Amino acid sequence: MPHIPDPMRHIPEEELHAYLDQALSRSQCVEIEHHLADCRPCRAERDGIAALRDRTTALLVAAAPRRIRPMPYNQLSAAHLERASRRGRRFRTAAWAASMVMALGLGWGLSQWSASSVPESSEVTAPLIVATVPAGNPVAPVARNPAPARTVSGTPGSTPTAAPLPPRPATSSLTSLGGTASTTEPVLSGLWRTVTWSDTVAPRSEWVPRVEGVPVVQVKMRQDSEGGRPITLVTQQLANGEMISTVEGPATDVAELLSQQSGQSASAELQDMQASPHLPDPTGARPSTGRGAPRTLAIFGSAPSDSLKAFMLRVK
Amino acid sequence: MRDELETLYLTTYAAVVRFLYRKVWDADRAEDLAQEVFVRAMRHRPEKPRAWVFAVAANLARDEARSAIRRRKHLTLLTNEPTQRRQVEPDGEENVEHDEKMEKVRAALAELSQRDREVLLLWDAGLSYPEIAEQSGLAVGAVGTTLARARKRLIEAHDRNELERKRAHAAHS
Repeated sequence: MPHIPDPMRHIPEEELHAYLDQALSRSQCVEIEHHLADCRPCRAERDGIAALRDRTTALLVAAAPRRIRPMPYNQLSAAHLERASRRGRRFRTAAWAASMVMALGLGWGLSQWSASSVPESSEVTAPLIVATVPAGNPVAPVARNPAPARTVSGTPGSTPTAAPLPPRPATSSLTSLGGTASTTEPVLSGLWRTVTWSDTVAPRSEWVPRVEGVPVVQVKMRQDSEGGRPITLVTQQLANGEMISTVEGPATDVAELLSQQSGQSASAELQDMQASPHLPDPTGARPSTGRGAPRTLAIFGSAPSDSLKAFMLRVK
Repeated sequence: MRDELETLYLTTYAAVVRFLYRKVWDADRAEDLAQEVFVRAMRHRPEKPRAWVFAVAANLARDEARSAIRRRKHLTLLTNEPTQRRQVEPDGEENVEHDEKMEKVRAALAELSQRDREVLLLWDAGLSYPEIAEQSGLAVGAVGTTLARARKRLIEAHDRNELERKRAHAAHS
């Protein structure tokens, strides 16, 4: 509160309010009382403010409930304890629920991590599954050739047909290439032609290499330079949106396509493959692509190699 | 030996109810809120319990005003509770007179600015100038000025309303 140095100065209204409200220090009160003793106008002002103050209090008393019945303090305390106990129970329940959610989340996270980390290389690097058929018939209904399970059979020089073939001795092989391709979109060179499904199947009544039951997105063909059966590339979309491609054609052409697709490591494995007795003579300058020349069926895509193997077995 | 909060409860509960009543204008609700204030005080154990109690009461009253519809639903629920302790009192002559006075004061208080009304109600609840200053955000020196203005305006509004009511009554008769 401001000091009042001048005894002749009248006391401001708000200071008289504060004085009557006992909101001033003791020394301030003494100074005001000295002034009031000598100043009639200030005494009148003080009396007016005191009356105003009393009237205000009287009015506010009317603005109150008729009766106020305080709850006994011990009851209020009991209500507090009960509420604290409820809060504790809620907290424990919430903590239990949170721990369950955390445990489930952790389990799920670990399973996702392990699922994604173990086969990561095979998913990302688009492993290649190659079935090599010694000769022209790529029709390899494995389901009808139960033994050995991972063998695709074929007969050199046979005509492609949709008819089921009798089981044959295992003369072809199924190889997984740990390729380094980073995309399922094949790198194509040469004159490829995109054809419609009806153009592909209807006029020729030929077998088209594909996984049965998976929607075909695109079929591309490249005519064989020597007038033989073309190399066919069928792209299909899996339910998860990933694409897989099945390619069938002369072994050298497929090997070339796959080496472009897979990079060096796959090429090396293809070199190994070519050394196998089912592939063309590695010493030959360029293997024949005409009838009777070895043909290769391959499936590749951005999926775990096990899945691609499974698809390979479904290729008809 | 009573703890500090129990003493505060015994000495301040009625003032808190009055303070709340002048904001919510419902006696039962004012008591409910006052009990809520003290239960919260038991949990928080504030350092300055008296000022804290009125600050929380003001906040509760503000929330109450903001959710008037929800409050009505809650009151309906409370009314239906079997442990309801309150009884409806018959409106005697004394009560009618009390209600009339109360309505006049309510109308006069409604004419004050929010800050003037808050300071006046806090002063009437027994808070000191520094406590009022802390809660209202005013400087301590400004509390006296605000109180002076609030008191004057309350009386003026009340007397003006009373005069108008008398004139209207005379005109009707």
